[in-house]
Amino acid sequence: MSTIRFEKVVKEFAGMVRPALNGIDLTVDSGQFIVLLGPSGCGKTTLLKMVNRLHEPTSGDILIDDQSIYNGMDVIHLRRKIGYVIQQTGLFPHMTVEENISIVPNLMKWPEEKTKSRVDELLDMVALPPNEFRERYPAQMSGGQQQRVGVARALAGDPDLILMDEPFGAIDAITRTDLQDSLLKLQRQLRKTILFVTHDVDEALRLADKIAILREGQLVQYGTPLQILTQPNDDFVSELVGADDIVRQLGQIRVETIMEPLLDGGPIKQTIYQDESLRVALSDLVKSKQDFLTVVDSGKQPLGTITYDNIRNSVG
Amino acid sequence: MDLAFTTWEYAIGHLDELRQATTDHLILVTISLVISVVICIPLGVWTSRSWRKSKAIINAVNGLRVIPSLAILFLLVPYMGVGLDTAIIALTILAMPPILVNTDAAFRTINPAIKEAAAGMGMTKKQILRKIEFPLALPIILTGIRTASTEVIASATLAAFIGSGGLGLYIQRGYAMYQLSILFVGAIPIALLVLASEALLSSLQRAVQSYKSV
Ligand SMILES: Nc1ncnc2c1ncn2[C@@H]1O[C@H](COP(=O)(O)OP(=O)(O)O)[C@@H](O)[C@H]1O
Ligand SMILES: [Mg+2]
Repeated sequence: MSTIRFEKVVKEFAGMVRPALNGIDLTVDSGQFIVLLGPSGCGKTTLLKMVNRLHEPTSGDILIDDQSIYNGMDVIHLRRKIGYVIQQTGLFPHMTVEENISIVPNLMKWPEEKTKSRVDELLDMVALPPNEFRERYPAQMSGGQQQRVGVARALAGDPDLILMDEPFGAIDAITRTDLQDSLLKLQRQLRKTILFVTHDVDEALRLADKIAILREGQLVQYGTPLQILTQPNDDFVSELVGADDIVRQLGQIRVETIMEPLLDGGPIKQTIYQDESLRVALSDLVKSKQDFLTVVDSGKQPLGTITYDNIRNSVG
Repeated sequence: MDLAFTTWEYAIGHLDELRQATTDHLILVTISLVISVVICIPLGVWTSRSWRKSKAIINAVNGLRVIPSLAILFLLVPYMGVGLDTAIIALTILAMPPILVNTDAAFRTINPAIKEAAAGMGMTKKQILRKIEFPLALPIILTGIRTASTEVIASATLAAFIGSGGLGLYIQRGYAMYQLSILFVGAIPIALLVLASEALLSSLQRAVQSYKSV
């Protein structure tokens, strides 16, 4: 459980002409993957860092599970219960993978055995074989592997809430897609509340349950990727996400977000994985000459169906 | 060949004295280095926290560096008289700049993102200092200690001139008696001590930053 509520959050930095954040109201439901999206300098990082109190608001309030994080909550305690991932520089270079991941468990004084098995469990979870990676230093790993360790480290204390600030920002495009896939899978198992900052529109559309679009310190739209693409609030949003480019939209929306729930006993012919894009679905429909595809999860279990009509109705 | 032989003979003939002089030399060097480290590491951490302090201290210290060690020593004598404490203070002043400057730089240049990640994970300021900043700064601090150590071992020679013993004894004596061999009895162990301290500190340095080059 972890809901977050931002109430009229304002942040002014000394010497800035306008507030970095100007009255943000935002509610995040428990277990949702929320992406904060917007051009550089719009206040995404500032908003994120307020949740673990690396920044304090000038005015307004932030509540986690309906409790203000500023009233009588110990800041160190708060931070240990929130996972935090930044670009790969955030790993401690003088510590092995195991030591990096063990930080929060050690801070929380877990018994050694429990920490050890937790490290292995987490490494498995992020697809890094523990025996091969436990003893490595960050410098001995690729950027993508480092970032997996970053994610594992954030999960170590089993927090309900995870903050991620452009975690895949410095990673090449192919590896990045890989990491996004892994994160989606992981989130499907764990159902954490995730606040994820990016300025990459494709990344936002792929990952988010809901996207919060910021512009110059203000929230301009908050909705599902589909809503953002098909009903942009204004020209700024429309331009930012490329809302009039239908091919692009098809390429970014996951099949599972528009599929119809499964009707019992229907035949299964052609299947498609739930994280594939509508573009792949469309192409599969054409190629297979079927009227519908059965959407399946990673265990090949059917989840729903998708048809030409579903796709046509979903895009503007 | 002749010189080597007379040097050797002189050393053998004064073995006990030589041993004592080497010990004195080492004690002088160690005490000065330890005092410098104890003063300069906390001071460097403190100055590294603000640009103004940092700049002020670096300028002051670089000013100090302009004064040659010999001058420091003899500047102190009128105030403190001759003796061991005068030598130690002079050598400490000499050792401080490289340690202080390097500590300041080491802490100031740690990637702020790393510190922020640590804070964001719920480490206290003290824990960040001890577990993150200090280990990351250590290789650069050790470089400073290495420089200081070489300087102090060489300069401790001058302590003999103000009656504080050490290997400078032989330099002083050899100089007074116009005997090169006696001079060498002091100079060779000093060179060896410099090499030994270089070797020791550089292997220590390699050990504490093994994570970088693997
Ligand atoms: N510590 C700070 N001091 C002063 N200004 C800051 C600070 N952090 C951020 N800002 C300013 O606040 C605005 C928002 O920054 P940020 O939240 O980092 O943007 P984003 O993450 O969306 O790129 C920017 O104009 C930035 O210059
Ligand atoms: Mg940012």
